[in-house]
Amino acid sequence: MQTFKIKAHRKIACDVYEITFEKPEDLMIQSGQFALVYLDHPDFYLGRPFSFSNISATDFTIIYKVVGQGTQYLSTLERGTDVKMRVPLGQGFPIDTSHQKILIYAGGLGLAPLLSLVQGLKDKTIHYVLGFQSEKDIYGLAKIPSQQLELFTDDGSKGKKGNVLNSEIDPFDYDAVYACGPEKMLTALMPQLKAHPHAYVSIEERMACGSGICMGCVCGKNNEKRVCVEGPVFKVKELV
Amino acid sequence: MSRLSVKLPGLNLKNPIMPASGTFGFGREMSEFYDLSHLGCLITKSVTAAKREGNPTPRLAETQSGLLNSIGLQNPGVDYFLKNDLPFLETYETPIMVNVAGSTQEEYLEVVRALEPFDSIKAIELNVSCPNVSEGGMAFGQNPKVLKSLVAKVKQISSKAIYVKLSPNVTSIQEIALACEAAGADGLTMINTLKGLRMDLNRREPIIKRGVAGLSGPAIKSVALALVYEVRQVTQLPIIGIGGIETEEDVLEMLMAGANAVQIGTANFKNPKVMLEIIENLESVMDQYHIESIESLSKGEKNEA
Repeated sequence: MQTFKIKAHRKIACDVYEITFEKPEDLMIQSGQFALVYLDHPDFYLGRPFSFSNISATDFTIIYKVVGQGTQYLSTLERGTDVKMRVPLGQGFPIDTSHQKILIYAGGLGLAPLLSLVQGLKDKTIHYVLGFQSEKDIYGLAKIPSQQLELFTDDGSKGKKGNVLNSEIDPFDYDAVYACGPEKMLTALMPQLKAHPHAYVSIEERMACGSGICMGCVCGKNNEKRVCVEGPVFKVKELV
Repeated sequence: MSRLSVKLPGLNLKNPIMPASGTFGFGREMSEFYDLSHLGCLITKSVTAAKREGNPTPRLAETQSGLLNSIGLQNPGVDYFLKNDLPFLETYETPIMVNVAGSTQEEYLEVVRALEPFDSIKAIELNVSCPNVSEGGMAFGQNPKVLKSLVAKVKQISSKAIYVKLSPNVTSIQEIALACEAAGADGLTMINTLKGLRMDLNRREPIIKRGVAGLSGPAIKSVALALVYEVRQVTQLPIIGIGGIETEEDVLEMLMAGANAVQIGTANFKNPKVMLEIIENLESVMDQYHIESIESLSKGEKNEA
């Protein structure tokens, strides 16, 4: 368990916040890994797992949505506050430097870990297929060139009406595909990506121990994979 | 004899601290955090005759000061355990207690028989109290007649010390404890999880896929203490106390309520090193309370290993 100081904390979309923590330079974090964040409050017994949206030598950033009382409490923490967490946990996104064309599918908060992935993909051609519920939920687009982006909103308030599953883009035109988003989105998308040699998803599941002991966060055909140890990033063909 | 050592049937413990079944797997993950030889005893995840995949997810939910789980006894089955996990546990200088579960009496006996030839297994903990499976588990532990029959049959076929893990979800835990004693149980471990539930306000259904689940953690400590205290009033059988223990004081509290040793479970999830830290700090906290030795707190009979 380590302690990290909040360097910055701001709202970036409807119920969506971005929080940055100072980190020692020798702490190595990979995109796709996660932190188990403990809230200093008796109502919140378990750690909350969050992936990273940005990693630098001296800090790391988490983007999260307020979905319950724990995240509501987190959103009140001010700059300068110390927060306990176990970091980094899990496996990161595999990156093959020979891959030139990369496709990103992201839905809602699923974009968060993929933002840290693309940090490490310099000089590559990256296309994004992104879906949000509504214009007010959109975040993270500042660094994405519009000609590389296909944007959907469920209600059509920005971009095309619909979701990432409505895209006609062919994932097999790309050397690697990375996807993250709501369970429904991944369940529908994964069978389409199964035959792709380099398709990866980041999965979330309720977890307790974060170290592979309790078997709470299992996934896979026979519950044989643990999101906290073998994941959260998996090859699509491992899961379907 | 050190200040921390405890002698229980089958178990010569260097200290009274051991993990609760299900919070330790088969030791591999925990061994990355510290040398398991420090622990008083190694307790395995429940082992069943056949491999089990457990319940569909979500299997976990949070409560205030607690955790709900419905893992559903996911385990690789006894054959895999004996070939792959037991040899790993044997590399440590700590006695091994295997937790055994089943859907039917015959399944429990099948596993107990399979464990019999292995001398490194010093004791068996009968899981008759899991609330997360439809057959076996808690159904055995709630019925004194059924339980007595099971324990008696297990005692007939096993040379190992037999501990029965009791469920708190019963009308009279004293009756259950006495049934175990009459059947020849060497000791009791108590308590397993309480029944609990959380609802998802958006989906209007339980957070956990299976519905009602097992509650553990600090939320249940006072319940566990009460039940240990009540059982101690009617029997001298060794008791290993379980329920919400997170600190050295919690350990002493459980011993003073009537337990001879303790298991620590959910606390491992917040801090994987908690058992090691407690073992290292226990004597200095005992000093604060003028406790000479763990065994001096024991209210049950002292047993030779």
